[in-house]
Amino acid sequence: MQNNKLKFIIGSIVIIAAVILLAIQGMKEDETMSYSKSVSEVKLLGNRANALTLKVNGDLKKGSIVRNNLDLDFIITEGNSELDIHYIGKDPIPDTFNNDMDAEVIVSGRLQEDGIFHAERIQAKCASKYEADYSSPEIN
Amino acid sequence: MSFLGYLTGIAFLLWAVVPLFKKDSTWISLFVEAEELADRKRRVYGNIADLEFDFAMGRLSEKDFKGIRQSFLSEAGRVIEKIEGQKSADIMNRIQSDISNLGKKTKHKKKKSNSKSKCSICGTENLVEAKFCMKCGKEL
Amino acid sequence: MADLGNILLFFLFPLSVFTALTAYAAGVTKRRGLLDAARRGAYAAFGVTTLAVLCLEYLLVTSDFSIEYVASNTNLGLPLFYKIVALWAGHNGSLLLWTWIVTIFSAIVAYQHRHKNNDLMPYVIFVMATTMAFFSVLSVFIANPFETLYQEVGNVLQEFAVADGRGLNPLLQHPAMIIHPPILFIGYVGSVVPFAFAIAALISGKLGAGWIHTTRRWALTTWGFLAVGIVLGGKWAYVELGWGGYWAWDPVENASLLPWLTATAYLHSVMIQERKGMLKVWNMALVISTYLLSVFGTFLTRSGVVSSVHAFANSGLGPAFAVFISISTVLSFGLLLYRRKDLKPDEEMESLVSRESGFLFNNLLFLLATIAVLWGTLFPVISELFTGDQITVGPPWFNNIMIPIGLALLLLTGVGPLLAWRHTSVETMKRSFGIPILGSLVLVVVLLLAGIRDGWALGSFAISFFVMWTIVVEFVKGTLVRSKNSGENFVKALYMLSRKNTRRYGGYIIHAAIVVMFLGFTGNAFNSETRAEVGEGDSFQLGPYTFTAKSIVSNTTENYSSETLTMEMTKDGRLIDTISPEKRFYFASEQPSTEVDIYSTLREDIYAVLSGMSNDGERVIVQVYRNPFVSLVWIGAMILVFGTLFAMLPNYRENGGGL
Repeated sequence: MQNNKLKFIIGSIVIIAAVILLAIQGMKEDETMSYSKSVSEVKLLGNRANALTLKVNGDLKKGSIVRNNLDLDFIITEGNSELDIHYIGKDPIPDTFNNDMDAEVIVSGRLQEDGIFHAERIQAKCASKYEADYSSPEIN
Repeated sequence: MSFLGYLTGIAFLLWAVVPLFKKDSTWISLFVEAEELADRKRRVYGNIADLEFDFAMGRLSEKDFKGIRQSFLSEAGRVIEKIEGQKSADIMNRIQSDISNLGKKTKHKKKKSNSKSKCSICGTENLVEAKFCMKCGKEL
Repeated sequence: MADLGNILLFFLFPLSVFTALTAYAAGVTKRRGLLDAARRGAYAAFGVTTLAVLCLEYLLVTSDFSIEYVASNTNLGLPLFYKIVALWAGHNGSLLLWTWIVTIFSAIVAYQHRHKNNDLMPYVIFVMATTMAFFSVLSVFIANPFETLYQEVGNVLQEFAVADGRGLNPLLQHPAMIIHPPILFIGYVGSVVPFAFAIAALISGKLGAGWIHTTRRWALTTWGFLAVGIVLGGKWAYVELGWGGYWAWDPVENASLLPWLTATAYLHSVMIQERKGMLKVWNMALVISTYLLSVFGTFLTRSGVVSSVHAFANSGLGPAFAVFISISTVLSFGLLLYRRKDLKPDEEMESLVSRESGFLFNNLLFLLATIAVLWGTLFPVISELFTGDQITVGPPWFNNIMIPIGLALLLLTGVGPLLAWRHTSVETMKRSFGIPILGSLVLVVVLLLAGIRDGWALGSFAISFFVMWTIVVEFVKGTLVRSKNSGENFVKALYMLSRKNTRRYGGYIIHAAIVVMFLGFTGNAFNSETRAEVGEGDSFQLGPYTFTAKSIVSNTTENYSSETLTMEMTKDGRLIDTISPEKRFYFASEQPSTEVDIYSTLREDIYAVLSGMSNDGERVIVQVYRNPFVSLVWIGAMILVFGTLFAMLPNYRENGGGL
């Protein structure tokens, strides 16, 4: 009986250890870990920003989108801070993403030495349209 | 419109409150021990059915099968003796016939017309579907 | 109508409090009058909520734009069908749907057990009414769907109506999205029934197997609805969001997966309790966790704690949910701890090579999967707490950990059912596993020769083959044994065999469904894609296919304006299909929407997205994905539904014959 219990415990420990190992190994890879920052926080990070994978959220600057063949450049803002974005990802860009829209954007990627952010993924949030606040006076 | 709302709501509330003022009675709990024994009986019968299936599917050797089956049968015997509170000479025969009847239609199911049945020990009237006597807790 | 609905909904609160109190009192005093009152309270709660839902539906259908919810989620031009289902398109309405389902289930349970389980029922109704009370507070006081529009005139607030509403989000105008929320909600809310019975068993001390038998169908139904809800969510993301995939480990997706994982673990471990009287505490813990994770999932979707593309805007429900979940967690696990002495196992584990040990490892893996998903989902919150940085873990982290766990579970799916209870000898193992293992190895060699080098994919194919083989053998062997004993022909014997133990064979069908879905998941290892800017007449290549742009057409309808690209897809010079992805712009909601076009076969999907126009407007940017085996995921899900339904059939009893 005792022997059996021991076998179970050893088996379980092996499995648990393997999973924990996988979790830690996954955490070590930079690509999977992204730091969520706002535009102004990225500016504050300085040189440290170049080493990290970042998820930056800000507002799309109206009229800043420039398309050139398959390339896409735009600017996101937060207050007075601006960040130049160059899209290098492969996925199609979201629907809500165009020059006429007020869109909150989250870009994931890395900040380059020249201060331009190379985004691999763009998410646009357009929560403003739905669940909007009707009580604001501009509606009437 | 709001009047209708209050009326409906209050009507529902009153309807729910009414039973509180009716002539009241209490129910008697089943014996925990009796339920436990019934659990054990169900379990050991289920185990025997599974064992026979496993054997038929060739998942265990004949030697294992016979040994395990014997231990189940004697456990079933112990449980049934406890439920009935007395030793019984033909207990093994009854278990055998119980087991070979597992999964078969039980004949007496048709006699559902009279809704009460008497407890063989204390004479209390019980619902015919009841598994235990509601007074003394004996299995019916 | 809004007043009426509001007042009716308001009555849900006193009714559920009344029900909870009388139910508890009934449990303590065992008085029939109290229990009757509690039962009627549950029916009445269902009554008022149903009427309130009807009121909201009336407002939606008649487009009463003085109501904020109606104005925010519908417009005049919206088809009637979408007006009706707008009940769960927005935040407040879907919360009302949640609440409504809770009252429906409470009423059903109260009715089903009106003549039985008197010792458990008071506490069952008590637990369900408490949940009801919590959701009624949210629906009435915090997120009321009957809220009217106000504007400030001078210093006075005045009601007003807008001329037309803002319309239903185009992303939600899709069949899968229409049935996805109610199905998922039924799955979420369904978990309250086994939970209520478990808690009732704990409070009353009736800790036998009674509550498990009573809730078996409920647990299975809940599980099935959760599974279907999750897959429908994936299907919707696939056809509507236009990024070529169906699962991204998004917090909201994870939230629906978590209770499914614990529910699956429970469905397996409960069999050990039934056969060996072990793991009683563990099963309780799983039922409690499934319920808590369901509420947690709702919380995650609505609180804005973790940012997600799908999530509703921050709605102010966060604190209320946090308090409710904390209290429920402490009380339920406290109760479990208090009763742990009465939940001692009846037997001990006998052998490492046995059915029960298979279940045990299955549970360990499901537990680890749950913890991993929970950890990854909450990592932004955890990391902010400890380091100050909000760190998100991406899909690769989840894949890295969940693919091995998933494959290990898949392997157990094949091994477990072949092990005998208690003890399996080495000889019989050799007999059972020899041929399928050999077959899998042959398959691996063949696939290697065919040029497949991805390790996980090879593993997945080999294990899938092994599991499928064992399932087929189970059916065939059982049928042959039966047909030998009873003299029935093969088909009749197969039918009778499975009808006599629907849980076992329904389970096998579900296992087969999971294998099919895993093959679909494995297809992800071979995805390829390309992006091109094309004008009329241009062509590009993806794998063996050549795409030639035939036309780019602009169109304007009443609802939207659109650009449509029509491409011919050819292979070796033969025309396969015409593909026309589209981009729309909806006027009412001022929302663009991508309409993907998918050429789907069993072998692979060709998935085309129109991502945008070039600057000069003459050419378009198109993205084409080649996704092998995606159809298998949806086919597997359909088999899973069939298996679940089959497992719920009552066992067939017959007049003779053994196996």
